[in-house]
Amino acid sequence: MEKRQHPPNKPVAAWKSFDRLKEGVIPSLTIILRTYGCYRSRIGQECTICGFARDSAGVPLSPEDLVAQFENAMTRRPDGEFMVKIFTSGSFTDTREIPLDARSRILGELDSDSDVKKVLIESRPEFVTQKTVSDCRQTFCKKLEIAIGVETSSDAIRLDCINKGFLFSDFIRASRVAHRFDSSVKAYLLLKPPFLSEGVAIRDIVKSVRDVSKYVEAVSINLCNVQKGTVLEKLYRRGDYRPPWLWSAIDVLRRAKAENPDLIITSDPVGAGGKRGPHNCGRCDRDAAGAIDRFSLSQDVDDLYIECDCQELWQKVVELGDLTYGAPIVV
Amino acid sequence: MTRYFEITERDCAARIGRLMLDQRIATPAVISSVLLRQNRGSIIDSGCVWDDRAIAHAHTRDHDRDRPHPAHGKLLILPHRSLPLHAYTAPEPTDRRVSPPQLPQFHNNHHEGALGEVIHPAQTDVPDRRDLYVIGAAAMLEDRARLLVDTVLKLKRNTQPDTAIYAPGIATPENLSLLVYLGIDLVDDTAAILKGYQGVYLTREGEKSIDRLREFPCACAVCTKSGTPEELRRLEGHTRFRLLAEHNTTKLGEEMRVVRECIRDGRLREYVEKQCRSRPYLTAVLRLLDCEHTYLEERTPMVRKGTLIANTAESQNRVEVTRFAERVISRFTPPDADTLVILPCSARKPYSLSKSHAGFIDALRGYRSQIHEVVLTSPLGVVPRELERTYPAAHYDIAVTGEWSMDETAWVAACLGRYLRRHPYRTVIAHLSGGFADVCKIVERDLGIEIVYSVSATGDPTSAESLDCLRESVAAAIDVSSERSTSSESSEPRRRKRKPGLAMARAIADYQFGRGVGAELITESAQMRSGRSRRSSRSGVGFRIFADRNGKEIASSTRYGTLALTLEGAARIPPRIYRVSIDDFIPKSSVLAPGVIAADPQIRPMDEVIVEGNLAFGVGQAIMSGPEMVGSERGVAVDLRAVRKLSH
Repeated sequence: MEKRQHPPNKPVAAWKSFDRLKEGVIPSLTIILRTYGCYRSRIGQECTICGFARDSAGVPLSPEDLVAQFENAMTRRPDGEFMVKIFTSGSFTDTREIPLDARSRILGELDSDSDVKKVLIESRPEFVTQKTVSDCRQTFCKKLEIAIGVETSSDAIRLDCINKGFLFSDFIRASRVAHRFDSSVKAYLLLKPPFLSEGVAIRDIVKSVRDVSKYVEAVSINLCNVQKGTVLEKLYRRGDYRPPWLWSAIDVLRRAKAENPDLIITSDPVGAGGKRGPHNCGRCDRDAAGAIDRFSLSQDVDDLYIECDCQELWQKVVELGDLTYGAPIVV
Repeated sequence: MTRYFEITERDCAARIGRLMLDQRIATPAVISSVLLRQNRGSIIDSGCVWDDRAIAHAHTRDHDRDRPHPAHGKLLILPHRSLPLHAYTAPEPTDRRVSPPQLPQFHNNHHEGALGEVIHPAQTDVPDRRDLYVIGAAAMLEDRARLLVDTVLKLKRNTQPDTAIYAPGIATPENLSLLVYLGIDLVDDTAAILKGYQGVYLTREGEKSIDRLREFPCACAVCTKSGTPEELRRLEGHTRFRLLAEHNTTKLGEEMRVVRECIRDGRLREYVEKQCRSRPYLTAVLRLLDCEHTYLEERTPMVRKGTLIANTAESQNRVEVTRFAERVISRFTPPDADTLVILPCSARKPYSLSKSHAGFIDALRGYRSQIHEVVLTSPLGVVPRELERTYPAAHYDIAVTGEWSMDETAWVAACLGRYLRRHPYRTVIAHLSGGFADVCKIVERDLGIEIVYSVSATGDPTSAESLDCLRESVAAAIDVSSERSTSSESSEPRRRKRKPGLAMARAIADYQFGRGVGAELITESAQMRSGRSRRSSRSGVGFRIFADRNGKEIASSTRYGTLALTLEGAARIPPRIYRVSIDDFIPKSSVLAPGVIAADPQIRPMDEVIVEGNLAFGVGQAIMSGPEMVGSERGVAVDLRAVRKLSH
């Protein structure tokens, strides 16, 4: 994949937002660090849907650069207390991306910053081990959440459709490790990776929420969007893929919340309304995305209520999508 | 192989059949996507391997004795990976640590009933012995003419003839006839329903957004009840879409009835030539399919009930047309004459019964035994007088304008050129004008021969002047040839003169069975008696042929201008050709496909065939092609006319 040149001491992005915790809504600072990149991409096994490799530096970065990126991002902090969410193009606890030295300096700074109430780091399960988590815990003693992109509880879908390369049992093991060190766990699920019909995708995520609920404190449902340079993009360009309907996201959130009332279930409809992102008919996309945003903060299913004629069509797409035997229903 | 699908009628690759499940499905059929989705119909879908519900469903069903097991009269579609058109090889992770979900109870060995399997268009290994093949992602073949034709034909070539093909999610009233013509047996109403919910109104002519429709062109219950499109538009979404889907599904069902009736009438070709005009891609499908000559030729019957209407440029590529032209070159032997008279075709068939030909025949009186007459026509090319009653020479109709298209001229010139190259004559007289004469001029130039034109300057071949000219030209040609020939061989033409009917019968036999068979079947001693035979209604007076003056009947003419053999006649057909070898049994009125051991691969549906086994000898009409007889496990292979028990 083509790499763009970027200053090594600036993060990919950092922005303020709000996040839903058990106890309420809190301002958050999301930081995306530029690193060497996910090792899966380096071995030619990137996920079919992931375009983050484009954001990676492509070369190992020095601890100084990484800490500088972090500090640069922290200048965009919201006022008062907040939570910090750190993402890399891969795993925060993979030392090839964030060397041990950089990791402990970043976590140390977060630990000593009195406004930081909670930190979320993201990692693949193979880097959530006794050693990595205990290391983190030595420098960071506040609330720590480890987010894992398990995507689905179905091994077949995770391996065949996403090429994620790990099993649900790997995720369960990682979650146990995290909990042992007093860290909470957040699962990222992916609604509608390639090759799934709308109905199968919905059922997969509703079931996945049920399956992961025993192992996590929070679930975030990512709505699959077509990122540049991915296998998914190739499929999309040939008409082989249609991103999920926002109705599907609303349906999943409603059903999952009903089944798991105490679980925090959120979704950030990235790219909603665009052709490459989750979308409905075009007329109601803004409303639908707004409803999902509102629900993600309030956890109140009434916030998911919107109306549009295209709901009828979506319903038929869900009903009949399995009967095309592979052809996406692109409307 | 299938125990559950039987084909009863064929029109080229299209066929009428039945899927014998707990409820019979008469194919071609539109299956209900609602029934399929809910697994309430006779076809049960195991579902996609990534669908957890499908897998869970399968597991519970295995232990649930109250619910009917799929084996009981159901066709089970095996678990499949639902892959889009371009992604057949995409999801193959190299570091797979788990095998795909196993569904033991749905495995081949555990299901007693009919089986279906999804085959992706890019898939090369097609498992054998399924009763139904589902074309994966078929909806994506819409608007991709070449891929559609290639996919269906590849699947057909790789599977047994008596297995059903299901193209899911693609059928609309507009494309249905083409899909069936390609050889598809099952479609569904998925596309029709989805179009309805998108506010699209479907008819045979295509689609239109309901928002732009001013008047319902249809009188179905939905359209009648709704009044006007305006009133339908005012209904709330739920009702509006449901009604549109209902209309669309009705139209699809209606079109399927039309298509089935076309197959029964043997005129689906005429229908698709008309229907494919609604969209360029459908016309492309027909043209690309016509390029797959072997596929169509093998399945096209020798004769059809209806009139062959050649109204389009594609008509020229029809198997009936190319087959006739090919056989005139490869199987027909002209009589021993030096002079060829080329005559124009007539609207009335057979040509001899037309007014114009009556005039030509009158003008040629006295010379006819010494010349050979052929008729030039579009799109058949060259029709020897001997074959003017043989299908499709007396069974076609064409729009006559006198204006010839370049395609027509080139094709007919090619036919005449090939004919004259194969059968040179000393003198060629063309009693033709206009486009016909243009054809001859091309041939003159291409072959470097000289053709005598006998039509007067008025350009009317039937004028007294032209007829006089024809007679004079023929007389001159014959004078030349009798001057050159010595009197020693004068007995030959006299014999021919006495029995022109037998020459025709021999030509027909050659046309049906191969060059030289006519001479073996109908010897010098044979007798022909004219008379309206049971089988000859169309081409006027029929005939019967007897071995000799007191001998047994060997053949009689049919309404298609072909020969129907008796057992005596069948015994005279040389070995192997048009033979169907059967097992050790004595068939009664028909031979079923499982009883066929071998069949001449050149046999086509409606061909006259000879049935031979250790215990029986018979003659009848093929219902399937030779390869289909051998490859099928069900269905009537031969309709027998007569059979004799053999004693050993």
